[in-house]
Amino acid sequence: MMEDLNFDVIVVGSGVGGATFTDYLTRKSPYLKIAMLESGPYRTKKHFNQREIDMTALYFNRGAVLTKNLQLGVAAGNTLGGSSAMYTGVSFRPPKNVLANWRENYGLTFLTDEYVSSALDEIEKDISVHELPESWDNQNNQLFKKGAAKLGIPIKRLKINTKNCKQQGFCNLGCTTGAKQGALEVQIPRIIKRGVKLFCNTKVVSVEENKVNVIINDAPDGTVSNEIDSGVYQFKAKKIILAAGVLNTPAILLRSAKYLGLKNKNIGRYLTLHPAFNINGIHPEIVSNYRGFPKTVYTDYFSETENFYLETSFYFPGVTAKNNIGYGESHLEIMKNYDKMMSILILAHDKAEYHNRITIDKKGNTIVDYTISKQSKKALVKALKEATKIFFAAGCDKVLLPASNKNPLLKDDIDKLDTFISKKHLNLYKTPLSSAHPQGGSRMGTNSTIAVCDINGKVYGTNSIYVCDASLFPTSVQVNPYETIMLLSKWVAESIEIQPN
Amino acid sequence: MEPNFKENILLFAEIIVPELHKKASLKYAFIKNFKQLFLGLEKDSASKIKLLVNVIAKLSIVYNFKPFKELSFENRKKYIDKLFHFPVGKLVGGLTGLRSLVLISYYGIEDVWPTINYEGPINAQLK
Repeated sequence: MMEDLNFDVIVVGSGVGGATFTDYLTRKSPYLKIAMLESGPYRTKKHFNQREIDMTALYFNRGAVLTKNLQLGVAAGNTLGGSSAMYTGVSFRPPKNVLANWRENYGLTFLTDEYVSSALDEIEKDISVHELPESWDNQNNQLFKKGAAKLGIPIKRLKINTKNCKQQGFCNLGCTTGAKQGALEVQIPRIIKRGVKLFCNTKVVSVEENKVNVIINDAPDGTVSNEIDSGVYQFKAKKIILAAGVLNTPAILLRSAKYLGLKNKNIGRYLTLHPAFNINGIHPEIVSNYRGFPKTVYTDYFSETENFYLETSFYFPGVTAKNNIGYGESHLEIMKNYDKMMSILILAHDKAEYHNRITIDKKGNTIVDYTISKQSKKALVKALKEATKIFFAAGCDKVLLPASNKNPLLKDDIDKLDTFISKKHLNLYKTPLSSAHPQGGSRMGTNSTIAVCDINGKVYGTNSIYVCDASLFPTSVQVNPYETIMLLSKWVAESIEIQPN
Repeated sequence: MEPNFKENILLFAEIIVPELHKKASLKYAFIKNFKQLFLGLEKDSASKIKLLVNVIAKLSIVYNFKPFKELSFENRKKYIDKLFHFPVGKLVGGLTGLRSLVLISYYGIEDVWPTINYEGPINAQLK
């Protein structure tokens, strides 16, 4: 069936960037005809089954998007709601020093303390951001607090966006109760009610001024089908909003450069990944780790001086097995202690560097070309040492590390951490380094010599194309990026001028 | 998955998770899970994995003078250990990636969960 594919606005991507933009735009201009194109399938909470192997389908390439040098794996959502369908719900405001840098060096002057504070008050209320009570801390979180307290490391409570959470602990496999107030639960039902037309399984090949060229694929078994047949289509609109996430938005721009006459050398550049290790200690007692809410506390104590955060976290058997290095009998023995594992997530702040980028291969596929800097390596090694101290202070007998020449480390090794844990033992080809917070690649700034988009999100050199996701970030925001994406999306929606037909 | 590829994956997986070598009953479930992951990969990634498995098989002739599938378990283990210390970083990175797929496939087997005291999904409607 041929459809009328002419719209006022086309939003590419249904993650938090695209969904927040569309939510605010439809509040402002309810009569616009809007289409939302999502590359992943249409799934709702009913489609989540808490089984790790099945739920890898929620991620691009089953969660295995590797950097070109094979040193780091990037996890990003490829389903309706994007990564907000399977993140933990951790909600941070952008740090003030990051915003000051963005204002002073990139001209994002609209991000005044007043604007940010009032916008995020509104957003946080809308998506139910709150601190979880201490009574919700499972033993993994309690042990983190205990270990940090013994070492005099101040901890803070994470803010989470949930409503009526049942504490099942399966956040990263999709929330089956709909408690997590991500795009899938909040903005998408809202914008569908307002008449936004949703097209899933829709890969954007390229964009031209006022045109989006796509391939619509069949819905995978068990997911909701499109009303339109699969095939090759061209959508038309007055404005096109690219909110396909950091792995895709810059790639779409690169694939479209010839149609748009774009020669901006910054497209895809200044990628940051917030590189992370998830490491485990083994406690003598059984630890409630994968039950209950996975993350309630963190420390930013090392953020300014050593460039890393430590957060609690816990994962399911497959990912936990992957995160513990090695293989064979010794690895099997380690995994027998799954129910005694305490876990800490290390997040290193990485600098936005020109050579780190999203690029495309000859077929137009995304390539993540990223090299860990010396500074990030230093931060990761230092973080591994500090996390090890917390594990032992919390009572763990053993600690399993990716940058140690002794595995596992035992309590008696505590005085020799500098000998055992060092950069020279950090073989990035063998370590489970990962990223769930890619940022940059279509950075926002006052001119095209430093940026890809202007301060209203419009791509320099185009008339109708905008960006609205974490690829706008000029540098790493240094914290979980969800609220910052919403903040910029709200701004772009408020700034954009579109008259309905 | 082609039979040759499947056989080589299983031979590699037995070194990563020796229980697969000991308990034939787990092999079917492992391959089912691995296939589910593998068929869900983007074409490019799937081709690279096929290439890597091919390299593992080919290098066996160079290192062991024997095809990979003819190596005893002990010799296969020695060989894979050697590959994990190979001087080409990308080969080691590829092996580490393949190791991840194997581990996720293995620990996705319901019969394995009791061995690590994992209780599995708790949503009553799904059990």
